[in-house]
Formats: sequence, C-alpha cells, structure tokens
Amino acid sequence: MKEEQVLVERARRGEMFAFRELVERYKKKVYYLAYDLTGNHHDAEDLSQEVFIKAFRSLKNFRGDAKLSSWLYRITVNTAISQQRKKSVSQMQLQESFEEESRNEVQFSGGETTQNPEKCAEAGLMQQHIEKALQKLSPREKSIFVLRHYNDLPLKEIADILKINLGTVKSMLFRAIQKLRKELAFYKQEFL
Amino acid sequence: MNNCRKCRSMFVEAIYGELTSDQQERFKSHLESCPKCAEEFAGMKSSTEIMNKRVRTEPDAHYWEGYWDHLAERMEREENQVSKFSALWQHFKKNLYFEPRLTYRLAGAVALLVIGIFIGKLYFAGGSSTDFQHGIAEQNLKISSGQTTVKVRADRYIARSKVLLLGMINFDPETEDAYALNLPYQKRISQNLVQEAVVLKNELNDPAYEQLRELIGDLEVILLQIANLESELDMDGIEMVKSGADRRGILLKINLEEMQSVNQQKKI
Repeated sequence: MKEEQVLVERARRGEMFAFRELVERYKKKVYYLAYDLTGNHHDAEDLSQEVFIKAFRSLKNFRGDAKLSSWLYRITVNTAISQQRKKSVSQMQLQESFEEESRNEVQFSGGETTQNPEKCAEAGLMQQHIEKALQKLSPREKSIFVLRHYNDLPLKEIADILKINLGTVKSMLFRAIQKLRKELAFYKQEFL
Repeated sequence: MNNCRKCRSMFVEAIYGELTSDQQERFKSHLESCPKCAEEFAGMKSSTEIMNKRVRTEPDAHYWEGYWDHLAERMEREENQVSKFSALWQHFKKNLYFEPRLTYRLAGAVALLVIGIFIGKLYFAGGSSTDFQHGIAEQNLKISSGQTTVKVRADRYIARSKVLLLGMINFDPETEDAYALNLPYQKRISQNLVQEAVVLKNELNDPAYEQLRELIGDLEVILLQIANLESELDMDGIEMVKSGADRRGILLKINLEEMQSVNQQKKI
C-alpha cells in the first residue's frame, strides 16, 4: 500500500514510469468493469483508456483517503454514465442491433466445438438475453449491480464509491434484481 | 407484515452473503415460517444465478501486453491536439498584438454585433408607448385591488405547481434514472407550496373565486402526497401521485383556469 502511495506521488509529479506501473496494476480491473457497463470489447477498451487518461490528468485531486481502486471505479462509473447519456436513442438502437449480430457471430463460430450445435446456440441465446436484461437497468442500477455481482465489491464500498448511502445502494440493487428477474422469467423453471 | 418487510430488506445482503450470523439466523427462521417471503427470495436468488451464466469475452495475452502502448499513443495524440489548439491560440494572440489592423477589424465586428442586438431588442421587444402605459395601468389596477393581487398570486401558484406536477407525471421509472427526478428538491418545493395553499385558500374568499379555491385544494392534496414520498425509490408513492392527479383531472382543471385568466386579462 505504501509502495502504491509512492507511485501515486511520483505519477502526480508527471513521472510516466510510475503512472505506467499503476496502469499495469489496475488495467484489468478497470477494463472488466468497463466491459460490464458497456457490454462489448470495443466500448470497454475506449472507456477504460479514457478512465486512465482522466485519472492521469486529475491525480492532483486524488487525496489518498480512499483506495486508488475505488477512485478508479468511481471515474469508470461516472464516465460510463455520462457517455451513455450522450448517446442518442437512435444511435444506441443501431449499435445494439449491430452488436447483437457480431455477438451472434462470436458465439456461433467460437471455440466451443466440442459441444453440440444446439447447445451452443442455446448458450449464445442466453448470453444475448442476459446482456439485454442488463441493458434494461437504469445506469445507476446497472453500475451497482455489476459492481456487486461481477466485481465482488461489498455494498459498503459501493456506497463509498458512488457517494450515496448504504440504504440507497441496497434498495437500488433490490430493484435491479427484481427487474432482471422479470426480464429472465423465461429461464426460471430451470433454476428453481 | 412487519417481519416480512424486515426480511425483504435483508434479501440483497442474504444473496451476497453479507448478513451477520445473528441476522442470518433471524432471516432463516422467518423464511421457514413464511412461504411467501421464501418464494420471493428463491425467485430473486435464482435470477442472480442466471446472471452468473454471463460470459465475458476475455481479451488475449497479446492485448494486455499492448495495452500501455495503445494508451500512451492515445494520450500523446490527445496531448498533441491540445497543444495544437493552444499553439493556434498563441498565434492568433500574437497576430492581434503585431497587426493592429486585425485588432481594429475584430473590435469593429464585435461593436457591430452589439449594435445589431441592441437595435433588434428595441425593435422586437420595445412595443409602443401606449402599450407601455397600458401595462402600467394594469399593474396599478392589480396593486390597488387586494383580491386581484391574490388572483395574481394564485395564478403564479398554479403555474409553479403545474411545472412540478408535469415533471412527476412524465417521469417514467422504466426508462429514466430515479435520481434524475431530484426528489428531495421536489419535496421541498411541495412543502412550500402546501404552506402557501393554506394562506391562499383563506384569502380567496370572494365567491367569484370558488372554482379557483377548489383547484388549489385539489393541488394541496397531491402536493402533500409528493411532500410525504419516502425516497427516490418510492415508486408506489410516485404512482399514487400520478393516479391521484389523473383521477382528479388536475391538469385539465389547471388548463381551464389558465385559459380563463388569459381571457380576463384580455378584457382588462
């Protein structure tokens, strides 16, 4: 932890080697969160790079009273939400259909050659349903859900990252899961 | 009922294993005695299990090796763009300093623009002197008559309430983030409006304002509901406000009142 503080301090002074070391440490965490928020590699790459650029420019504002990872997560969520707001509805719909097509290609031509085609198609379809269900959540709900569910952050830490109270995190997560349940009701029988 | 509510407030923590052992015990014993909560919890848990089936497309090792290079490239590109812009600005500033003619031209253009705006404002928004006198007379009339002043305040009250109600009625929880509603702010305004409604209703004692007083009474009920909403996530409460406004035909009444006010002003 102390080593990290030294790296932050050096990066703050403009030392690129120190900043590179920080990027190497957190690139996967930031990328995966970006992937969960955007749902595709291209946008996740773009978002994660933007996060590090923003972090580099505003390192002077990082007071060090929170964990560096939490600070980076906060930048990621805020950047993702503002990017999403900027996108017009028509653009999003166009992209959605395009991504769906490309995802189909990945799923059906992908490496699972040992499974039978029927199962492979089923799995591909399920992935699509899951991604679509995630898109139904509001940006805040989605952020909270992916931070807890896919990035394994405790509820208290999520509250700190998003600067909202714990009760709000719990109720938003509750609502998010309820929405997902409604969207994925089709699969319920298999799991109950 | 109360136990069920407490139990449901623990669902999220229970799903993600964040309950203390004491809480866990109470939670379990409630589920054993309440099939409704048990079913609800199982349903939510199974949804999160389905979400576990989501597969992230993993970038290969090559991607991670080149990550810094791509990032550094982008940083450099953006840095160049910024410095290009600042160089352009410096060049422009330098030209202004060394070429007085350019400075004069620029100053002339700005002056023309300001004059244009000034003339435009005078021409389009000025109005005739009789209009102006008429406006003053109207103002005087309003001030001289106590009831008319109350009417003006009531009209303003209705206009403010309408803006607030429209925001609430048009809010769609399916597509919009609950935080965009800024409920604490709306609640504060509703509280103020409720207080103002009490005063206005007492002052509007002229029988001619019977309809207006009734409308303010209806608005008061709806605004009170908004003021008492629990949080941004009180979707049931928000729905109640919407259906209440709908049931009472509030917006229609407001529109009618506004039309009447306009007609009266035209007569004056």
